Amino acid sequence: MEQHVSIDTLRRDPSLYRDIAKNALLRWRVFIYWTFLGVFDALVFFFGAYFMFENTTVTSNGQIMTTNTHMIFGNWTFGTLVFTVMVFTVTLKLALDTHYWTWINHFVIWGSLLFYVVFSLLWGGIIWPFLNYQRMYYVFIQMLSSGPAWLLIILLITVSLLPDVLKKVLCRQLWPSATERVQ
Amino acid sequence: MTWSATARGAHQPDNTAFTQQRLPAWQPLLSASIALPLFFCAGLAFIGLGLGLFYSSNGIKELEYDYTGNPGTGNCSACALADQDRAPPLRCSCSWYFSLPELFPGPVYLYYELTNFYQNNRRYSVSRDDTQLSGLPSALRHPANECAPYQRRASGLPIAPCGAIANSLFNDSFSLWHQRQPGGPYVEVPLDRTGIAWWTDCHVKFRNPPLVNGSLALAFQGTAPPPNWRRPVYELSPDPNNTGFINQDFVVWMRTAALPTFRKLYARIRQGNYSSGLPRGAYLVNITYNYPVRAFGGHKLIVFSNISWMGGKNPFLGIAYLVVGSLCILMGFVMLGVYIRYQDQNDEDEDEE
Repeated sequence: MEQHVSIDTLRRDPSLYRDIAKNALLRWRVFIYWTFLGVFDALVFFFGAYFMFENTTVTSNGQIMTTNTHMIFGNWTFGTLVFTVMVFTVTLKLALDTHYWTWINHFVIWGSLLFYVVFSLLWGGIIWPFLNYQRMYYVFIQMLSSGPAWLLIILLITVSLLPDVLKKVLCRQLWPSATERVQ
Repeated sequence: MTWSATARGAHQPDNTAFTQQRLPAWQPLLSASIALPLFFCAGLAFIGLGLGLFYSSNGIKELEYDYTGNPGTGNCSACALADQDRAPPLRCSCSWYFSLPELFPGPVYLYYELTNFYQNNRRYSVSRDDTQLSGLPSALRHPANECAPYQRRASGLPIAPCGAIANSLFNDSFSLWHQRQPGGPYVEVPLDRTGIAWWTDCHVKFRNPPLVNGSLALAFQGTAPPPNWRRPVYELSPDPNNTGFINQDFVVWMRTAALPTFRKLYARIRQGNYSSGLPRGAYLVNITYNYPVRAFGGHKLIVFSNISWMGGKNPFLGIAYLVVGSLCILMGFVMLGVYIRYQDQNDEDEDEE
Protein backbone atom coordinates (compact mmCIF):
# COMPACT_ATOMS: atom_id res chain seq x y z
CA MET A 1 0.00 0.00 0.00
CA GLU A 2 2.84 2.38 0.62
CA GLN A 3 4.97 3.03 -2.39
CA HIS A 4 7.49 5.83 -2.35
CA VAL A 5 8.00 5.55 -6.05
CA SER A 6 5.79 4.06 -8.73
CA ILE A 7 6.44 0.65 -10.23
CA ASP A 8 7.33 1.99 -13.65
CA THR A 9 9.96 4.38 -12.27
CA LEU A 10 11.52 1.56 -10.30
CA ARG A 11 11.72 -0.69 -13.31
CA ARG A 12 13.39 2.05 -15.30
CA ASP A 13 15.96 2.82 -12.63
CA PRO A 14 16.58 -0.12 -10.29
CA SER A 15 19.52 1.67 -8.69
CA LEU A 16 16.92 3.41 -6.53
CA TYR A 17 16.77 0.23 -4.48
CA ARG A 18 20.15 1.15 -3.11
CA ASP A 19 18.39 3.73 -0.95
CA ILE A 20 16.83 1.05 1.18
CA ALA A 21 19.75 -1.38 1.10
CA LYS A 22 21.30 -2.48 4.40
CA ASN A 23 18.06 -1.72 6.26
CA ALA A 24 18.65 2.01 5.84
CA LEU A 25 15.16 3.02 6.88
CA LEU A 26 15.47 1.40 10.29
CA ARG A 27 18.90 2.56 11.27
CA TRP A 28 19.81 3.90 14.68
CA ARG A 29 20.00 7.44 13.37
CA VAL A 30 16.40 7.42 12.23
CA PHE A 31 15.29 5.78 15.46
CA ILE A 32 17.00 8.34 17.66
CA TYR A 33 15.61 11.19 15.59
CA TRP A 34 12.07 9.88 16.11
CA THR A 35 12.70 9.37 19.82
CA PHE A 36 13.88 12.94 20.28
CA LEU A 37 10.94 14.18 18.27
CA GLY A 38 8.66 12.20 20.56
CA VAL A 39 10.21 13.66 23.68
CA PHE A 40 10.02 17.17 22.27
CA ASP A 41 6.36 16.70 21.36
CA ALA A 42 5.54 15.34 24.80
CA LEU A 43 7.10 18.38 26.45
CA VAL A 44 5.20 20.69 24.12
CA PHE A 45 1.86 19.00 24.85
CA PHE A 46 2.17 18.98 28.60
CA PHE A 47 3.89 22.28 29.26
CA GLY A 48 1.86 24.10 26.67
CA ALA A 49 -1.33 23.16 28.47
CA TYR A 50 0.32 23.66 31.86
CA PHE A 51 1.39 27.23 31.19
CA MET A 52 -1.98 28.14 29.89
CA PHE A 53 -3.67 26.73 32.99
CA GLU A 54 -1.11 28.09 35.37
CA ASN A 55 -2.03 31.58 34.52
CA THR A 56 -4.70 31.13 37.05
CA THR A 57 -7.46 33.17 35.58
CA VAL A 58 -8.04 30.60 32.86
CA THR A 59 -8.38 27.82 35.42
CA SER A 60 -11.64 29.32 36.43
CA ASN A 61 -12.39 31.88 33.82
CA GLY A 62 -15.78 33.38 33.38
CA GLN A 63 -16.00 33.45 29.65
CA ILE A 64 -19.57 34.19 28.78
CA MET A 65 -21.21 32.16 26.10
CA THR A 66 -24.72 33.19 26.94
CA THR A 67 -25.75 35.34 29.84
CA ASN A 68 -25.94 32.30 32.03
CA THR A 69 -23.16 29.90 31.21
CA HIS A 70 -19.42 30.01 31.37
CA MET A 71 -16.43 27.88 31.99
CA ILE A 72 -14.50 26.65 34.91
CA PHE A 73 -11.66 24.45 33.77
CA GLY A 74 -10.76 21.63 36.09
CA ASN A 75 -8.50 18.66 36.40
CA TRP A 76 -10.13 16.59 33.70
CA THR A 77 -10.30 19.42 31.21
CA PHE A 78 -6.53 19.76 31.52
CA GLY A 79 -6.04 16.08 30.80
CA THR A 80 -8.53 16.06 27.95
CA LEU A 81 -6.76 19.02 26.35
CA VAL A 82 -3.36 17.33 26.49
CA PHE A 83 -4.80 14.07 25.21
CA THR A 84 -6.67 15.65 22.32
CA VAL A 85 -3.57 17.52 21.18
CA MET A 86 -1.61 14.27 21.39
CA VAL A 87 -4.09 12.27 19.32
CA PHE A 88 -4.21 14.89 16.59
CA THR A 89 -0.45 15.44 16.48
CA VAL A 90 0.36 11.75 16.29
CA THR A 91 -2.16 11.13 13.53
CA LEU A 92 -1.03 14.15 11.53
CA LYS A 93 2.60 13.08 11.90
CA LEU A 94 1.65 9.77 10.41
CA ALA A 95 -0.15 11.60 7.63
CA LEU A 96 2.97 13.67 6.95
CA ASP A 97 5.06 10.55 6.61
CA THR A 98 2.68 8.81 4.26
CA HIS A 99 3.77 9.32 0.68
CA TYR A 100 1.30 7.18 -1.17
CA TRP A 101 -2.30 7.97 -0.33
CA THR A 102 -4.77 5.34 -1.40
CA TRP A 103 -8.40 5.43 -0.32
CA ILE A 104 -7.48 3.13 2.53
CA ASN A 105 -4.98 5.65 3.93
CA HIS A 106 -7.54 8.43 3.74
CA PHE A 107 -10.20 6.30 5.36
CA VAL A 108 -7.99 5.16 8.20
CA ILE A 109 -6.30 8.44 9.03
CA TRP A 110 -9.19 10.86 8.77
CA GLY A 111 -11.50 8.18 10.05
CA SER A 112 -9.40 7.84 13.20
CA LEU A 113 -9.65 11.51 13.95
CA LEU A 114 -13.34 11.57 13.25
CA PHE A 115 -13.86 8.51 15.40
CA TYR A 116 -11.94 10.09 18.26
CA VAL A 117 -14.09 13.20 18.19
CA VAL A 118 -17.37 11.32 17.86
CA PHE A 119 -16.41 8.84 20.55
CA SER A 120 -15.37 11.57 22.97
CA LEU A 121 -18.61 13.43 22.37
CA LEU A 122 -20.65 10.32 22.99
CA TRP A 123 -18.59 9.17 25.97
CA GLY A 124 -18.84 12.52 27.70
CA GLY A 125 -22.30 13.40 26.52
CA ILE A 126 -24.21 10.69 28.33
CA ILE A 127 -24.31 9.67 31.96
CA TRP A 128 -23.34 6.04 31.56
CA PRO A 129 -25.03 4.01 34.27
CA PHE A 130 -22.29 1.42 34.61
CA LEU A 131 -19.66 3.97 35.61
CA ASN A 132 -18.88 4.64 39.27
CA TYR A 133 -17.40 8.02 38.59
CA GLN A 134 -18.92 10.50 36.19
CA ARG A 135 -15.73 12.48 35.90
CA MET A 136 -15.71 12.85 32.13
CA TYR A 137 -19.31 13.96 31.89
CA TYR A 138 -19.50 16.91 29.54
CA VAL A 139 -15.79 17.68 29.90
CA PHE A 140 -14.97 17.30 26.21
CA ILE A 141 -17.93 19.35 25.05
CA GLN A 142 -17.23 22.04 27.61
CA MET A 143 -13.61 22.17 26.52
CA LEU A 144 -14.59 22.50 22.87
CA SER A 145 -16.93 25.37 23.63
CA SER A 146 -14.08 27.48 24.93
CA GLY A 147 -12.23 29.69 22.45
CA PRO A 148 -8.85 29.62 24.20
CA ALA A 149 -8.90 25.81 24.24
CA TRP A 150 -9.31 25.68 20.46
CA LEU A 151 -6.55 28.21 19.95
CA LEU A 152 -4.24 26.27 22.22
CA ILE A 153 -4.95 23.01 20.40
CA ILE A 154 -4.11 24.55 17.04
CA LEU A 155 -0.98 26.17 18.45
CA LEU A 156 0.34 23.02 20.11
CA ILE A 157 -0.28 20.85 17.05
CA THR A 158 1.56 23.35 14.88
CA VAL A 159 4.50 23.66 17.26
CA SER A 160 4.83 19.89 17.56
CA LEU A 161 4.87 19.28 13.82
CA LEU A 162 6.96 22.30 12.87
CA PRO A 163 10.44 20.78 13.42
CA ASP A 164 9.58 17.72 11.40
CA VAL A 165 8.16 19.66 8.45
CA LEU A 166 11.16 21.95 8.52
CA LYS A 167 13.56 19.03 8.53
CA LYS A 168 11.75 17.34 5.67
CA VAL A 169 11.72 20.42 3.46
CA LEU A 170 15.32 21.42 4.19
CA CYS A 171 16.72 17.94 3.72
CA ARG A 172 14.82 17.57 0.49
CA GLN A 173 16.42 20.79 -0.79
CA LEU A 174 19.92 20.39 0.52
CA TRP A 175 20.58 16.67 0.52
CA PRO A 176 18.02 14.97 -1.67
CA SER A 177 18.26 11.22 -1.83
CA ALA A 178 18.05 9.45 -5.14
CA THR A 179 14.40 8.61 -4.59
CA GLU A 180 13.57 12.21 -3.90
CA ARG A 181 15.40 13.40 -6.99
CA VAL A 182 13.30 11.09 -9.11
CA GLN A 183 9.98 12.24 -7.64
CA MET B 1 7.18 -31.47 -9.73
CA THR B 2 6.69 -29.15 -12.63
CA TRP B 3 4.62 -26.08 -12.76
CA SER B 4 3.53 -24.18 -15.77
CA ALA B 5 4.21 -20.46 -16.02
CA THR B 6 1.02 -19.84 -17.92
CA ALA B 7 -1.59 -21.82 -15.99
CA ARG B 8 -3.08 -20.12 -12.93
CA GLY B 9 -1.91 -21.80 -9.73
CA ALA B 10 -4.17 -22.35 -6.77
CA HIS B 11 -2.36 -19.80 -4.56
CA GLN B 12 -1.69 -17.12 -7.14
CA PRO B 13 -3.28 -13.83 -5.98
CA ASP B 14 -6.00 -12.23 -8.06
CA ASN B 15 -5.04 -9.63 -10.60
CA THR B 16 -7.01 -6.80 -9.06
CA ALA B 17 -5.80 -3.32 -8.31
CA PHE B 18 -6.04 -3.99 -4.60
CA THR B 19 -3.92 -7.13 -4.49
CA GLN B 20 -1.40 -6.00 -7.07
CA GLN B 21 -0.85 -2.68 -5.35
CA ARG B 22 -2.10 -0.65 -8.25
CA LEU B 23 -4.70 1.35 -6.34
CA PRO B 24 -5.14 4.90 -7.54
CA ALA B 25 -3.27 7.15 -5.17
CA TRP B 26 -2.34 10.69 -4.40
CA GLN B 27 1.36 11.29 -3.99
CA PRO B 28 1.96 14.63 -2.36
CA LEU B 29 5.47 15.96 -2.29
CA LEU B 30 6.53 18.32 0.42
CA SER B 31 8.54 20.55 -1.83
CA ALA B 32 9.66 24.07 -1.12
CA SER B 33 7.14 25.62 -3.49
CA ILE B 34 4.31 24.30 -1.34
CA ALA B 35 5.95 24.69 2.03
CA LEU B 36 7.21 28.24 1.63
CA PRO B 37 3.87 30.00 1.04
CA LEU B 38 2.40 27.82 3.75
CA PHE B 39 5.02 28.89 6.28
CA PHE B 40 4.58 32.56 5.46
CA CYS B 41 0.80 32.42 5.59
CA ALA B 42 0.81 30.51 8.84
CA GLY B 43 3.39 32.87 10.33
CA LEU B 44 1.39 35.95 9.41
CA ALA B 45 -1.85 34.44 10.65
CA PHE B 46 -0.27 33.45 13.94
CA ILE B 47 1.29 36.86 14.46
CA GLY B 48 -2.03 38.55 13.78
CA LEU B 49 -3.81 36.23 16.17
CA GLY B 50 -1.11 36.67 18.77
CA LEU B 51 -1.36 40.44 18.68
CA GLY B 52 -5.12 40.29 19.03
CA LEU B 53 -4.91 37.90 21.95
CA PHE B 54 -2.15 39.86 23.67
CA TYR B 55 -3.95 43.18 23.49
CA SER B 56 -7.20 41.59 24.51
CA SER B 57 -5.52 40.08 27.54
CA ASN B 58 -3.78 43.33 28.42
CA GLY B 59 -7.08 45.13 28.47
CA ILE B 60 -8.38 42.97 31.29
CA LYS B 61 -8.18 44.44 34.73
CA GLU B 62 -7.55 42.46 37.86
CA LEU B 63 -7.52 43.37 41.50
CA GLU B 64 -6.42 40.92 44.13
CA TYR B 65 -5.82 40.83 47.84
CA ASP B 66 -4.13 38.21 49.94
CA TYR B 67 -6.14 37.88 53.11
CA THR B 68 -4.45 34.84 54.62
CA GLY B 69 -3.55 37.03 57.53
CA ASN B 70 0.15 36.41 57.87
CA PRO B 71 1.40 38.63 60.68
CA GLY B 72 1.69 42.24 59.68
CA THR B 73 -0.34 42.04 56.51
CA GLY B 74 -3.48 43.79 57.47
CA ASN B 75 -6.74 43.23 59.11
CA CYS B 76 -7.10 39.48 58.87
CA SER B 77 -4.03 38.61 60.90
CA ALA B 78 -6.18 38.71 64.03
CA CYS B 79 -8.30 35.90 62.62
CA ALA B 80 -5.26 34.07 61.40
CA LEU B 81 -3.48 34.10 64.75
CA ALA B 82 -6.31 32.14 66.26
CA ASP B 83 -5.88 29.53 63.56
CA GLN B 84 -2.80 27.64 64.65
CA ASP B 85 -3.37 24.16 63.19
CA ARG B 86 -7.03 24.42 64.04
CA ALA B 87 -10.02 26.01 62.46
CA PRO B 88 -10.40 29.67 63.35
CA PRO B 89 -13.01 30.77 65.87
CA LEU B 90 -16.58 30.86 64.77
CA ARG B 91 -17.45 33.76 62.55
CA CYS B 92 -14.22 35.67 62.78
CA SER B 93 -14.47 38.45 60.26
CA CYS B 94 -12.10 40.96 58.81
CA SER B 95 -12.28 43.59 56.13
CA TRP B 96 -10.40 44.92 53.19
CA TYR B 97 -10.74 48.55 52.25
CA PHE B 98 -9.82 49.59 48.76
CA SER B 99 -10.72 52.36 46.39
CA LEU B 100 -11.06 52.46 42.65
CA PRO B 101 -9.72 55.58 40.95
CA GLU B 102 -11.80 54.90 37.85
CA LEU B 103 -14.56 52.66 36.56
CA PHE B 104 -13.71 48.97 36.69
CA PRO B 105 -15.50 47.91 33.50
CA GLY B 106 -17.88 45.02 33.83
CA PRO B 107 -19.13 42.44 34.00
CA VAL B 108 -17.00 42.02 37.08
CA TYR B 109 -16.35 38.55 38.45
CA LEU B 110 -15.33 37.79 42.01
CA TYR B 111 -13.02 34.82 42.55
CA TYR B 112 -11.33 33.25 45.51
CA GLU B 113 -7.86 31.88 44.95
CA LEU B 114 -6.08 29.23 46.96
CA THR B 115 -2.41 28.36 46.73
CA ASN B 116 -0.58 25.18 47.66
CA PHE B 117 -3.86 23.27 47.66
CA TYR B 118 -3.52 20.09 45.64
CA GLN B 119 -7.02 19.28 44.51
CA ASN B 120 -5.42 17.09 41.88
CA ASN B 121 -3.95 14.70 44.45
CA ARG B 122 -5.07 11.26 43.35
CA ARG B 123 -6.34 9.94 46.66
CA TYR B 124 -8.18 13.18 47.23
CA SER B 125 -9.74 13.36 43.80
CA VAL B 126 -11.25 9.87 43.95
CA SER B 127 -12.73 10.48 47.39
CA ARG B 128 -16.26 11.24 46.21
CA ASP B 129 -19.41 9.38 45.34
CA ASP B 130 -20.97 10.61 42.11
CA THR B 131 -23.90 8.22 42.44
CA GLN B 132 -24.83 9.73 45.80
CA LEU B 133 -24.48 13.23 44.37
CA SER B 134 -26.78 12.37 41.48
CA GLY B 135 -29.62 12.12 43.95
CA LEU B 136 -30.24 8.38 43.78
CA PRO B 137 -32.14 7.55 46.98
CA SER B 138 -30.56 4.12 47.26
CA ALA B 139 -27.07 5.57 47.12
CA LEU B 140 -27.77 8.41 49.53
CA ARG B 141 -27.42 6.26 52.63
CA HIS B 142 -24.79 3.93 51.22
CA PRO B 143 -21.78 6.07 50.33
CA ALA B 144 -19.05 4.40 48.32
CA ASN B 145 -15.99 2.90 49.97
CA GLU B 146 -13.72 5.36 48.18
CA CYS B 147 -15.03 8.08 50.46
CA ALA B 148 -13.35 6.54 53.49
CA PRO B 149 -12.51 7.93 56.06
CA TYR B 150 -15.31 10.38 55.28
CA GLN B 151 -17.85 7.67 54.66
CA ARG B 152 -19.57 7.33 58.02
CA ARG B 153 -19.45 9.40 61.16
CA ALA B 154 -18.45 7.96 64.49
CA SER B 155 -22.11 7.59 65.32
CA GLY B 156 -22.51 5.27 62.34
CA LEU B 157 -24.58 7.65 60.24
CA PRO B 158 -23.62 7.81 56.57
CA ILE B 159 -22.14 11.10 55.47
CA ALA B 160 -23.90 13.04 52.76
CA PRO B 161 -22.05 14.33 50.73
CA CYS B 162 -19.26 11.86 51.40
CA GLY B 163 -15.61 12.13 50.61
CA ALA B 164 -12.62 14.36 51.24
CA ILE B 165 -13.44 16.79 48.45
CA ALA B 166 -16.82 17.61 49.94
CA ASN B 167 -15.39 17.73 53.43
CA SER B 168 -12.89 20.42 52.47
CA LEU B 169 -15.54 22.73 51.04
CA PHE B 170 -14.41 26.34 50.99
CA ASN B 171 -16.58 28.18 53.46
CA ASP B 172 -15.33 31.75 53.59
CA SER B 173 -17.91 34.29 52.55
CA PHE B 174 -17.56 37.79 51.21
CA SER B 175 -19.79 40.81 50.95
CA LEU B 176 -19.00 43.93 48.99
CA TRP B 177 -19.95 47.41 50.11
CA HIS B 178 -19.64 50.62 48.15
CA GLN B 179 -19.25 54.11 49.58
CA ARG B 180 -20.53 56.50 46.96
CA GLN B 181 -19.50 59.72 48.61
CA PRO B 182 -16.54 60.14 50.93
CA GLY B 183 -17.85 60.00 54.45
CA GLY B 184 -21.17 58.66 53.23
CA PRO B 185 -22.87 55.39 54.05
CA TYR B 186 -21.79 52.05 52.65
CA VAL B 187 -24.27 50.45 50.24
CA GLU B 188 -24.15 46.73 49.63
CA VAL B 189 -23.28 45.69 46.10
CA PRO B 190 -25.52 42.77 45.06
CA LEU B 191 -23.50 39.65 44.37
CA ASP B 192 -25.10 37.15 42.02
CA ARG B 193 -24.29 33.73 43.45
CA THR B 194 -26.02 31.84 40.66
CA GLY B 195 -24.72 30.91 37.25
CA ILE B 196 -21.20 30.29 38.54
CA ALA B 197 -20.97 26.56 37.81
CA TRP B 198 -21.29 24.52 34.63
CA TRP B 199 -24.95 24.30 33.64
CA THR B 200 -24.69 20.55 33.15
CA ASP B 201 -23.11 20.12 36.56
CA CYS B 202 -25.95 21.90 38.32
CA HIS B 203 -28.81 20.47 36.36
CA VAL B 204 -27.75 17.00 35.28
CA LYS B 205 -24.81 15.63 37.17
CA PHE B 206 -25.70 16.85 40.65
CA ARG B 207 -29.29 16.33 41.73
CA ASN B 208 -30.97 16.46 45.09
CA PRO B 209 -32.65 13.28 46.33
CA PRO B 210 -36.43 13.36 45.89
CA LEU B 211 -38.22 15.51 48.47
CA VAL B 212 -40.01 13.78 51.31
CA ASN B 213 -43.28 15.52 52.15
CA GLY B 214 -41.98 18.53 50.23
CA SER B 215 -39.01 18.94 52.55
CA LEU B 216 -35.38 18.56 51.65
CA ALA B 217 -34.36 18.14 55.28
CA LEU B 218 -36.55 15.04 55.52
CA ALA B 219 -35.03 13.68 52.32
CA PHE B 220 -31.61 13.80 54.04
CA GLN B 221 -32.85 12.19 57.22
CA GLY B 222 -30.60 9.44 58.43
CA THR B 223 -27.46 11.08 57.07
CA ALA B 224 -24.96 13.40 58.68
CA PRO B 225 -22.91 16.28 57.27
CA PRO B 226 -19.13 15.85 56.82
CA PRO B 227 -17.04 16.47 59.96
CA ASN B 228 -15.74 19.87 58.88
CA TRP B 229 -19.13 21.30 58.01
CA ARG B 230 -21.02 23.48 60.44
CA ARG B 231 -24.33 23.19 58.67
CA PRO B 232 -25.97 20.21 56.99
CA VAL B 233 -26.04 20.10 53.22
CA TYR B 234 -29.70 21.07 52.93
CA GLU B 235 -28.99 24.35 54.74
CA LEU B 236 -26.21 25.57 52.49
CA SER B 237 -28.31 28.43 51.23
CA PRO B 238 -31.67 30.00 52.01
CA ASP B 239 -32.64 29.77 48.34
CA PRO B 240 -34.46 26.42 47.87
CA ASN B 241 -33.25 26.16 44.29
CA ASN B 242 -29.64 26.52 45.35
CA THR B 243 -29.37 24.27 48.35
CA GLY B 244 -28.52 20.64 48.89
CA PHE B 245 -26.28 18.94 46.38
CA ILE B 246 -27.10 21.48 43.69
CA ASN B 247 -25.76 24.42 45.69
CA GLN B 248 -23.57 26.26 43.20
CA ASP B 249 -20.69 26.88 45.60
CA PHE B 250 -20.60 23.18 46.37
CA VAL B 251 -20.73 22.25 42.69
CA VAL B 252 -17.95 24.71 41.86
CA TRP B 253 -15.81 23.25 44.64
CA MET B 254 -16.45 19.66 43.50
CA ARG B 255 -15.03 20.43 40.08
CA THR B 256 -11.47 19.68 41.15
CA ALA B 257 -8.82 22.06 39.92
CA ALA B 258 -5.86 20.98 37.83
CA LEU B 259 -3.00 22.81 39.55
CA PRO B 260 -2.13 23.67 43.17
CA THR B 261 -2.75 27.37 42.64
CA PHE B 262 -6.26 27.85 41.40
CA ARG B 263 -9.16 30.25 41.37
CA LYS B 264 -12.78 29.41 41.64
CA LEU B 265 -15.66 31.66 40.82
CA TYR B 266 -17.50 33.02 43.83
CA ALA B 267 -19.97 35.51 42.42
CA ARG B 268 -20.80 37.70 39.47
CA ILE B 269 -21.48 41.40 39.85
CA ARG B 270 -24.00 42.26 37.23
CA GLN B 271 -27.12 43.59 38.80
CA GLY B 272 -28.60 47.03 39.07
CA ASN B 273 -26.24 49.98 39.08
CA TYR B 274 -23.23 47.70 38.84
CA SER B 275 -24.09 45.87 35.63
CA SER B 276 -21.65 47.96 33.62
CA GLY B 277 -18.89 47.68 36.16
CA LEU B 278 -17.76 48.96 39.50
CA PRO B 279 -17.84 52.75 39.53
CA ARG B 280 -15.08 54.70 41.16
CA GLY B 281 -15.19 55.18 44.84
CA ALA B 282 -14.26 53.55 48.10
CA TYR B 283 -15.11 49.92 48.67
CA LEU B 284 -15.13 47.52 51.57
CA VAL B 285 -15.05 43.75 51.42
CA ASN B 286 -16.30 42.05 54.55
CA ILE B 287 -14.66 38.64 54.81
CA THR B 288 -15.88 35.89 57.08
CA TYR B 289 -12.66 34.03 57.77
CA ASN B 290 -13.51 30.35 58.22
CA TYR B 291 -11.15 28.37 56.07
CA PRO B 292 -7.83 27.27 57.65
CA VAL B 293 -5.06 27.45 55.08
CA ARG B 294 -2.08 28.39 57.21
CA ALA B 295 -1.74 24.84 58.49
CA PHE B 296 -0.40 23.72 55.13
CA GLY B 297 1.32 26.94 54.14
CA GLY B 298 -1.33 28.02 51.70
CA HIS B 299 -2.65 31.44 50.92
CA LYS B 300 -6.14 32.73 50.34
CA LEU B 301 -6.78 35.57 47.99
CA ILE B 302 -9.79 37.41 46.76
CA VAL B 303 -9.72 38.55 43.15
CA PHE B 304 -11.85 40.92 41.12
CA SER B 305 -11.55 40.48 37.39
CA ASN B 306 -13.42 41.30 34.26
CA ILE B 307 -13.41 39.02 31.27
CA SER B 308 -13.20 39.22 27.51
CA TRP B 309 -14.23 36.96 24.65
CA MET B 310 -11.26 34.75 25.34
CA GLY B 311 -11.59 34.45 29.06
CA GLY B 312 -9.68 36.13 31.81
CA LYS B 313 -6.21 37.58 31.87
CA ASN B 314 -3.97 35.12 30.07
CA PRO B 315 -1.00 36.61 28.27
CA PHE B 316 0.52 33.18 27.62
CA LEU B 317 -1.61 32.43 24.57
CA GLY B 318 -0.91 35.78 22.96
CA ILE B 319 2.82 35.59 23.55
CA ALA B 320 2.98 31.97 22.40
CA TYR B 321 1.23 32.80 19.15
CA LEU B 322 3.53 35.75 18.54
CA VAL B 323 6.62 33.64 19.15
CA VAL B 324 5.49 30.77 16.95
CA GLY B 325 4.39 33.17 14.22
CA SER B 326 7.75 34.89 14.22
CA LEU B 327 9.54 31.54 14.17
CA CYS B 328 7.47 30.48 11.18
CA ILE B 329 8.35 33.61 9.27
CA LEU B 330 12.01 33.27 10.21
CA MET B 331 12.04 29.68 9.03
CA GLY B 332 10.29 30.79 5.88
CA PHE B 333 13.07 33.23 5.13
CA VAL B 334 15.73 30.61 5.86
CA MET B 335 14.06 28.19 3.47
CA LEU B 336 13.68 30.92 0.88
CA GLY B 337 17.41 31.56 1.09
CA VAL B 338 18.19 27.88 0.75
CA TYR B 339 15.75 27.52 -2.12
CA ILE B 340 17.23 30.44 -4.05
CA ARG B 341 20.76 29.17 -3.54
CA TYR B 342 19.69 25.69 -4.55
CA GLN B 343 18.02 27.07 -7.67
CA ASP B 344 21.26 28.84 -8.65
CA GLN B 345 23.20 25.65 -8.05
CA ASN B 346 20.69 23.69 -10.09
CA ASP B 347 20.97 26.15 -12.98
CA GLU B 348 24.75 25.81 -12.87
CA ASP B 349 24.50 22.02 -12.95
CA GLU B 350 22.15 22.16 -15.89
CA ASP B 351 24.43 24.59 -17.71
CA GLU B 352 27.37 22.26 -17.19
CA GLU B 353 25.51 19.30 -18.60
